[in-house]
Amino acid sequence: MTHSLQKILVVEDEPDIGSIVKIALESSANLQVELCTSGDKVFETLKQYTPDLILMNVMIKGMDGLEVIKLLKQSPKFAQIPIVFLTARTQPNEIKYYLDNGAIDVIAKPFDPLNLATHVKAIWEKWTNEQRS
Amino acid sequence: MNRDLENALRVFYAAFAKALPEKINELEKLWQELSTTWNEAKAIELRNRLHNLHGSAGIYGYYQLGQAAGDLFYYMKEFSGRPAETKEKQKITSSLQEIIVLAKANPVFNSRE
Repeated sequence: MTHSLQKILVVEDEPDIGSIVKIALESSANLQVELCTSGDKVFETLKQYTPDLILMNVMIKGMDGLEVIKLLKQSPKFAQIPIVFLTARTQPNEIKYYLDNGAIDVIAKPFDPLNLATHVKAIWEKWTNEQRS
Repeated sequence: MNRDLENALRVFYAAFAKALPEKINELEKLWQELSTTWNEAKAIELRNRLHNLHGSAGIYGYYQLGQAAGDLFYYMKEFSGRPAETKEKQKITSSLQEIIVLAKANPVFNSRE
């Protein structure tokens, strides 16, 4: 069962970039965004906030994005939450590695804040369509 | 076009531009130390700072700077775990010089895809 995209958890340890992502998604698409500043805090945050989608930097403080996604995929409670990586490391072999490890898509840094919400919503639409088929 | 968003972003663009010279100074300082005495921990720190600049500079309009930082990041990754050889050090020095020049250029916001 899928629904419209409403709530996003952003995992980003660079404070200004985290704020830009939050502002861009809230302002452009009226999304509800919770910001988490380290991989170590993701599970703690998820106890209080259930997002439709997680947008996560790969190279973050504490557990990195790949460690976090591995643990999330092992968790019966959180395994179904789609995860999109937001990363500057976007060589083809790196993207393949992220997708093979459970990310549904990758958004390259640098991203355009003015188009970020459109990009995230397009990824969500594609993913929900795939879930239906 | 979202004017509220654009106005909010201007604050971040200005903060990045203000902090950029110090970020570049730190890169230069790290490289000076590293090129004198190779230290893997410092090499990792330099690569991390380049990676950070690669991912962030373009968000603030410094596309070429971000690209140059990314190119140097991936170049240095090729010999991670061992000291750079003379030729590699020369390449890093010239790439950092390019980064210094690009950091002094004005940000551009009309070349986004």
